[in-house]
Amino acid sequence: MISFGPTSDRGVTAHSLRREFRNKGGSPRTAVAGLDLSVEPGQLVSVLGPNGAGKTTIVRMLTGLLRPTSGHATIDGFDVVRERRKAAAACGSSLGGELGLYPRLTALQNLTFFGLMYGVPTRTLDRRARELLDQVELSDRAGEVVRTFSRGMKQRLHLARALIHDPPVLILDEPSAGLDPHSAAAMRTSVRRFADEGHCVLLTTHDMREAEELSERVILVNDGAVRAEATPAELRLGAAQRFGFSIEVIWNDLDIPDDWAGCPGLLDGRTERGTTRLRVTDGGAAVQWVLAEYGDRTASVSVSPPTLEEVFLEMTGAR
Amino acid sequence: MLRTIRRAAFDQARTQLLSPLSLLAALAMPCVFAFVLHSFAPGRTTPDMAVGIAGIGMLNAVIVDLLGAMSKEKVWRTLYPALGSPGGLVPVVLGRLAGIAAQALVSLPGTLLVLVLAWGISPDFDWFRWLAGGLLLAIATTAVVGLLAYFLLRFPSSPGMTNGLTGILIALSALLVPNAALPAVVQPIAWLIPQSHVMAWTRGGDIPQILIALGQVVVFSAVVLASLRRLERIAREQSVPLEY
Repeated sequence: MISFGPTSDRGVTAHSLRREFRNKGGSPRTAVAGLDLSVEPGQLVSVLGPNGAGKTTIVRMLTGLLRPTSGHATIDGFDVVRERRKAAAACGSSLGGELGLYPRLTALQNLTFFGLMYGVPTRTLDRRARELLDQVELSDRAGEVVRTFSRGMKQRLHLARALIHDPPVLILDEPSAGLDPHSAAAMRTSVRRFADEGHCVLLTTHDMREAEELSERVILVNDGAVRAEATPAELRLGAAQRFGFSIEVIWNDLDIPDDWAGCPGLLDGRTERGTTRLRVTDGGAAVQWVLAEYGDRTASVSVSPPTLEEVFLEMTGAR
Repeated sequence: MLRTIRRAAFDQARTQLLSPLSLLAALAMPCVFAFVLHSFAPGRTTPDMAVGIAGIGMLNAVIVDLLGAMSKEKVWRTLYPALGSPGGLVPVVLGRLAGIAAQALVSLPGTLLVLVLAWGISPDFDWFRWLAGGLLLAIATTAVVGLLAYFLLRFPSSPGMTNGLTGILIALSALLVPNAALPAVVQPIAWLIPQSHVMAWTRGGDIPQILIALGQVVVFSAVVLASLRRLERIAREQSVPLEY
């Protein structure tokens, strides 16, 4: 595992966090097996994993909805079990989806109700709720009941609900799941802004682009354990060492070369619909070779390490 | 915590006060009982009859409204944000119960109106005993039925969880007849619930009956509170689903 320097108790920490469930026969099933993680204030970290990997269990333990079988975790320095109330007060969380809100109450009424649960003073509650509705672009729908909202609007309201008590830590479970591209982009902007303001954000997602665009670090989990933890660039470059770089060449005429034997570090290659794709061990050398050999016929050439999605598929055994 | 309870109660009342199902539960069933009762004991409406009939409506309404409120919380998955909040589930559920108690009060003037229109009112009608008895009965009924909240949240709900409960509690609450008229074996059991003592006071009993009723309300409320704390604990430890 890659080290990211000294950690503090602020933000989110987990040490040997473990959670077992018992099936009907009484035999244990491990959902999270000894998780270690830390997210510093101002950092945004994504947890990626396939369905059943343990992501939601991790989120539920950190947000006080589920007690760990062993190990411990802190939110802003407060133990999530022994100091649950303080940890809860320091954490804004959203489990996402269309549910978790009162459909018969208005957006403003929902926010003020949840604000009361988190001890927001009455004198500032209404103003704080309206500010957040403005930030998530729902101020014009503040007085409308939530059952009339689209999924994207509900997701934004979830984010506002999680922020109602201005917590130092934000934990989001798939915040943009099911959103259209515009709503997902707006959600990412809001989450990124929150991290840029110095808060600590931990989110789970299936969306590789979202993870890569937002995160300082990505944690890949599978079968309840961390399989890799690094920056998105480090994960991709690490995968390039194992699987090579991708070279994509687009030709400017129909006379497409088929002799690649001289390409340095060539692993494999194919040409489809006017574009040649090579896999090589040394991306820079391969690009230089393509330009030297076929520069006059090349419209564009690009080199890239495996995508985060390919890294994910490799880590989860699907590649 | 008190602010959350107050707001949860207010939201419960404002969204459900005029719900047809709630009004039907609070008014229709007790009036049917009143018609049967009056056929055996004709006469004008007395305070104990008015409070007893209202008590049936309160009991029915509290059970129906509690089932509705807890089921909606589970369907909407709104209990998870509450469980994750500093105060947990308790303020939300207690608030709902308080709102349901306020809703159930509809029975008190509602059934009286029907009784008075049907049979008139007794000339020496004791308005204080009617009002105080009715208010106390709503509180006592909610404290006793509040235990149902634990079962509705802990287990998948089924009609069996509430069917029959109204009938049993009508009998044990001495709403229709005095405790002394109940079968001998039932009488000591009936004294274990506060509604019996409220009704005894409404029928002309002394202040100690009220004090006993209030003491029992405190005990039942403490048991409700403990059951909700237990629910929070097992939800976190055993991952009991708080949703459908």
